[in-house]
Amino acid sequence: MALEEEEAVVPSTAAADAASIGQSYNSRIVPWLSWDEWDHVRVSLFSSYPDAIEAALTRVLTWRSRGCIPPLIEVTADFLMAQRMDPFFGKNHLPDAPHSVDQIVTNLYSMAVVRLVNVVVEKKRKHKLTSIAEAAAEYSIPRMLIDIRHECSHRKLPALPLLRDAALQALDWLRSYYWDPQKNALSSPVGGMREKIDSDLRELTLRRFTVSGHRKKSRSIMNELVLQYNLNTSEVVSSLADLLLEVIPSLIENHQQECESGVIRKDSSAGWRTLINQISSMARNLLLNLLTEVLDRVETQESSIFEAGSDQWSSLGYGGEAGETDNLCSLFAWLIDTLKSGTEAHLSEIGMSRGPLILILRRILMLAPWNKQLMDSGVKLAEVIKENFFIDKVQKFQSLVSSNVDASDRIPPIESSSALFIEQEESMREASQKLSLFGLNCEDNKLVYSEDSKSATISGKWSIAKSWSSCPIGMLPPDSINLSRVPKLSCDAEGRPVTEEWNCKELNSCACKRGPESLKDSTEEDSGPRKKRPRKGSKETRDVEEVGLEVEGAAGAGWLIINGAWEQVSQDYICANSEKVAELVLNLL
Amino acid sequence: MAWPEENPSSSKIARGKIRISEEWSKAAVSITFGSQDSPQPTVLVCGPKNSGKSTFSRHLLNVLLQKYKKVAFLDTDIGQTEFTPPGVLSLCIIDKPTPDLEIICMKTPERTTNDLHVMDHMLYLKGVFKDLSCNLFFIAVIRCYFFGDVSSSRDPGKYLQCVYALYDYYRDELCKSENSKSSMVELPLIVNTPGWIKGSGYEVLVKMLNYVSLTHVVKLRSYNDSKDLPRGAFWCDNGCNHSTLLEIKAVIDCATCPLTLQKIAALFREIKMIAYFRQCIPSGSNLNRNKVLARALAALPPYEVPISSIKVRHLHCQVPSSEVFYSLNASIVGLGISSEKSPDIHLCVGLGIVRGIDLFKGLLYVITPVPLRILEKVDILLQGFIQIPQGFLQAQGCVSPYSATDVLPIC
Repeated sequence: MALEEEEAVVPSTAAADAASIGQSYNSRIVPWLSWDEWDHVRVSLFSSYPDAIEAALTRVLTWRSRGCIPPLIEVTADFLMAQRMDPFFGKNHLPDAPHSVDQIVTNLYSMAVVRLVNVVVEKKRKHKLTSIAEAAAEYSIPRMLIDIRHECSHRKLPALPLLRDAALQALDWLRSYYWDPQKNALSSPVGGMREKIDSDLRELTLRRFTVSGHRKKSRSIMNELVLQYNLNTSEVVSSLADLLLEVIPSLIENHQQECESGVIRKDSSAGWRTLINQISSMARNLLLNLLTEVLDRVETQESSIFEAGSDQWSSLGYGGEAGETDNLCSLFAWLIDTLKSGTEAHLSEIGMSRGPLILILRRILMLAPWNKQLMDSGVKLAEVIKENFFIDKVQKFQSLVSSNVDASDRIPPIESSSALFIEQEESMREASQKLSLFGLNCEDNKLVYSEDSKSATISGKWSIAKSWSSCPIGMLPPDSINLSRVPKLSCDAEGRPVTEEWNCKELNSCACKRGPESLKDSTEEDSGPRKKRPRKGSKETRDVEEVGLEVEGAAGAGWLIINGAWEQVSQDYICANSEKVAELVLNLL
Repeated sequence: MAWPEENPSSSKIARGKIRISEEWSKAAVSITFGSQDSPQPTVLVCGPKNSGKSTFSRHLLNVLLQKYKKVAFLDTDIGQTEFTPPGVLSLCIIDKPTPDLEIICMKTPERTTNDLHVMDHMLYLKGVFKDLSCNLFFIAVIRCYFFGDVSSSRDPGKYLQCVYALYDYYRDELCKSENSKSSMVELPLIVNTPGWIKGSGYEVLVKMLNYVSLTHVVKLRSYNDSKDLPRGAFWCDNGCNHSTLLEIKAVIDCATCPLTLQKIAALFREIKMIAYFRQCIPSGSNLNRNKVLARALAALPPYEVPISSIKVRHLHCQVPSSEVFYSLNASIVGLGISSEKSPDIHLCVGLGIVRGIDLFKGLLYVITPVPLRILEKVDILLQGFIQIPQGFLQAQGCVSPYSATDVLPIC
C-alpha cells in the first residue's frame, strides 16, 4: 500500500545528501527566510493568542508550499489546526458548525497522532525491524500516543476527550523534542547576534594588530563576518562603527605622532584602513553603509540635542576634549579618506554606484552646514564622485555657509536651549532654501535616480535587469534608497507591500491584541539604525519618509509609502503635508 | 541505466556497464524493421523501476534512426527525465546524426506548422546528445508541460491530461504533412513511462496505454515477479489488443540494486537541474565547479518582470494571497503561457528561478536560460515542489537565507 514511487517530499533529505558532496555537512534548504522567522513562528504557535497562532499556521501553510518543510513542523501545525477546529478549545465557536464537527475533529486529531508517531519512528525502523513501541520509547514519545496510533490504525477511533488530552501531550513532546532543542542549537542565537559580531570583530582586530601569524584564523573570522554582514547588514555595520568610534581619537593622535617621529605602528590609521578595505572588498557597500550609519548617528545626536535642551547637554560629554558628535565627524572624515584612498578601480570593483554617494552628500548638506569638518568631508566626497559640477556646487555652498557661521566654531555656544533652537532652526531653513536652489539646478542633469525609478515603470513585461550587482538567490541587491537586502515579502491581497507583521518582541511583551499603533512603533524600532530619523520638534506629523507613486488617484485618495509601508491617504492628508512632500520630492530629484 | 551525458561523474558509473543483450537487440530490430507494410512504429516502454526503460528507449531510438529521419519521443517519466529538467512532461523530436556539428546548431526545425510560434518556443532547448555509441543527435523539445512534482501521485488526473495533450499534438500536428493532407509524415514515436507501476501508478499506466494507439508495447520484466507488471496484455479488459506485446528481461537484477536508489534518483534530478541552469551562463566560461556556477548565477543580471503583469499559481496547493511571495521567493517555477483552450494546463517554455522579489518596485527577478523573445509570451509562473539545487544557494561569501546551518538532524 505504500507508494512505490519515491516520495515527493524526499528532496529535503536528498538535497542534503547531494549537498554533502564537498559542501558543509549540516546546512540544508529550509522554507524560512531567517531563523528569526522560524523563531517567530515557534513563539506564536505556542502562544495563547488566537491571532498569533492563526498567523503562524498560515505561515506554516506557506512553508508547506515550498516543499521542504521539516515534518515535525507540519505535525505541530496539524495538532494546532485540529484544536482550532475543536469547539472545546475555540472561543470563536462557529454558530453554524455542522453536527458532525466532533467527527471531523476526531479524524483530525487521530491523523495528527498517526503522522507524529510514524514520522518520528519511520527513520528508526528503516534500519532494523523493531516494534513501533520500542522505537517510540527511544524517543520518549508518551505511551499514550503510541496506543492511540495503534487504535486509530487497527481499531476504532478513540474518544474525543482522550484525543484532546493526547494533543496537549503531543504538543508538549514536540516542543521538547524539536522546537526547544532546535532553538538551543542555533549557533547564533536569535536576537543575540550582536554580541557574537562584536566579539568577532574585536578578535579580528586583536589578531591583526597584535598577534603575528595565525593568518588562517583571522581569515576565517573575516569570512564569518562577511557572511554575517550579508544576513545582518545593520548589526555588523553598527558594531563596526562602535569599534571605530572607540579608536578614532587615538588614530588621529597616532597619525600626528607618526608624522613627527616617522615610526609607523601596526595599529595605525593605515593599518585600520587596510583592514576596512579588505573587509569591504568582500562585503559589498560596507563603506557606504558605514558612512550612512555615522550620518544616522550624527542626526540622532543632533535631534536629541534639540529635544533634550541644555541639561543633558553637558552629560553628553561636551565638557571633554572631544564630544560625541565631534568623534562621529572625525570618523566620517576618516572614512571618506579611506574611500578616497581606494582607487577608482576599487570603487567600481565593489560595485559602488554614485547614486548612494550623492545621497550621502545631500544629507551632509542638509545636516550640518555649520560643521566645518563634515562640510570638508562633503567636498572630498564630491571629489570622489568625480562630478565637477558637484564639487563646484558644494564648494560654493560651503562658502555661503561659512559666511554665515564662524568656520572655527565647532558648535554654536549654548546660551539657552531656546536660543539654540531658534538659531539652529534658522540655519536649517537657510540651508534648505539653498538646497532648494541647488536642487533646482540639479534637475536638468537628471543625475541619480532617473534610471532606478524608470525601471519600475517600464511598459514591456520582461526585460533584463539593469545595473545588477551580485547577491545571493532569494535576496535583493542593495539599491540607492534601501540598503537592506533581505526582501520584505508581506503583501496585501493586491500584491502591494505591507509592513512586516512579524515581530517577536512585540508578541512577547504585549499581552493584548496587537494594534496597528504598537506594531508601527516597534517595527520602526526594530528596523535598525538605517531607519532612525531625527525626531524633530514636530512629532505630531508622521515623517513622510518616502514619497510613493500615486497608485490610485481616482477617488481623491492615493497611496503613499509612509514609514516604509503603503498607506491609503486622503486628498486632505496630501494637502496638509504637501509642503513636506514637495520638499522631499525636491530632495529626491 | 543511461545517465545524462552532461554529467561526467555519472557517465563514469554507467560507462562500461551498459550491455545490450541479444534479446534487446532483437526486440529493437523487430520493432524497426518488422514488416514492410506495417505502419510506422509507436512504442510504449514500461516496466518496474530500474529495469532499463530509459536505456532500452535510447537503444530503440538509435535503431529507429537507422531507418527514419526523425523520431518523436514522449517522455512521461517526470522523476527521471531524458532531455528536460525534472518535473516536466515533454514531446521531443530527435534528428538523424549529422556529421557537421556546426550545421546542427544553426539548424532550425524545418516544419512550418500553423503554430510556428510553439516550435519557436522550444528552440532554446535544442541541443545535441550522444547516444550509446557516441553518435551525435539533434534534439528539439517541441512541447512541454510543467507538472511540478517528480511523481504523478500528487495529481494523476492532471498528469494524464498533460500526457494526452502531448500525444494529441503528436497525432494531430506532427504526423500531418503540411503539403498533402492525405499522406502521413513518417515519424515513429517512443513513449517512456515512469517506473511506478503499483497502486495508482498502475492505473495511470493503464489509462495511458489505452489512450495512445500503439503498434508495440515493450514490457520489461525484472527478476522478481511480485514487482513486475501483470503478464499478458494487462491493460485490455476485453482482449481488444491491436498492438504487439514484447516482453523482455531487464538487464540487471533489480534486487541487487543498492538500497539508496531513492537518494541517487534525487541526486540525478539535482544534477539535471544544475545542467539546465548552467545554460544561463554564456558557454566558454569555465564552470568546472558547482560553487563557481553558483557565484556566476548570483552575479548574473536576471530578467525582471512587473508583478502586476504576471500571474502566480501553485500547481499543487493553495497559498494565501498575502503569503504568495513568501512561497515564491527563491523557488523554481515553470514559465507558462495561459491559453483559453486549456485553462487547466499551461504550455511551458522552460523553467526559471525566482531569484528575488522587490515589492516596493513591484518587480520579480527571474533567472532562466529562455531567451527574451520567447519569454515575452510568458504570463504565468507555475510553482511546484521541484526543489532548487542547494548548491545554487551557497555561493562563496553570499549564502542564501534559505540555506540554513544548525538544522537539527531529527526533523
